[in-house]
Amino acid sequence: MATQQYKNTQGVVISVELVEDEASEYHGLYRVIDKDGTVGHISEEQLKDNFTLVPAQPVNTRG
Amino acid sequence: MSVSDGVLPSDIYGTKAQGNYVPNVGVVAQQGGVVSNDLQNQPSAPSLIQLLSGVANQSAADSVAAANLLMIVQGMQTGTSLFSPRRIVTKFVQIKGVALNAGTPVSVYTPTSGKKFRILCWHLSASAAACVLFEDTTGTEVLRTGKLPVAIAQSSPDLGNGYLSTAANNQLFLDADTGTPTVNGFIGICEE
Repeated sequence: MATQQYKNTQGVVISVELVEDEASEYHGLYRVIDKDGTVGHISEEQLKDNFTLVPAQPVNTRG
Repeated sequence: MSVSDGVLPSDIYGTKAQGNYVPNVGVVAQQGGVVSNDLQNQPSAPSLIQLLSGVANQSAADSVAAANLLMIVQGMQTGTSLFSPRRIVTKFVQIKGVALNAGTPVSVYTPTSGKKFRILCWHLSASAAACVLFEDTTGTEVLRTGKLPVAIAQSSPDLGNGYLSTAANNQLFLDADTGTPTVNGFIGICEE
């Protein structure tokens, strides 16, 4: 899963990516990355409860 | 091991010691030997029994390894027929003049590598009226204080076993619901 941007009601923006490596102890959780680097992992429930997806900016393909 | 003639020893409140029936012996007091004294210096049943090579130790020390204990620790129901031992605070996260700005979480604790923090209590004041948000990684609110008045510290209620972080190595962040309060106090945690 590609890195996606999420935002909470306070305006805090985080980058998250699903940990797909089955060997990882964090498998199935979402890795949270802020401007300082990885700060933790949260569950899908926590992600849905606290954040909403920030739509990706459309790419201008017409110059 | 002392043998009773049917009357088991009791403390000053009349609570009988636990008894076991042993064939060819009779009923014996479970604690046996010298009975420990309570705060009134009266003989009383021990509250904690430590197994040391099969012998009951009536003067168990602090921080005894769980593997050596009979499960006489204080337990709490955490769900349907599920119990967990009560946690205690082993570390105070000092919150010394942490400047918050609503919407900009501040990391106040990084657990020991491979460990999760567990919030057990807090005592906080704020320089401006605000709710302080506790976050399990940045932006992930897990609990918040009520609206703190200006410069009057408030304490958490009994949180029981509190809140255990979702994943190892997650940092504990604080944020405010509004304004730019400066926060002082402490957060009581343990790690596991």
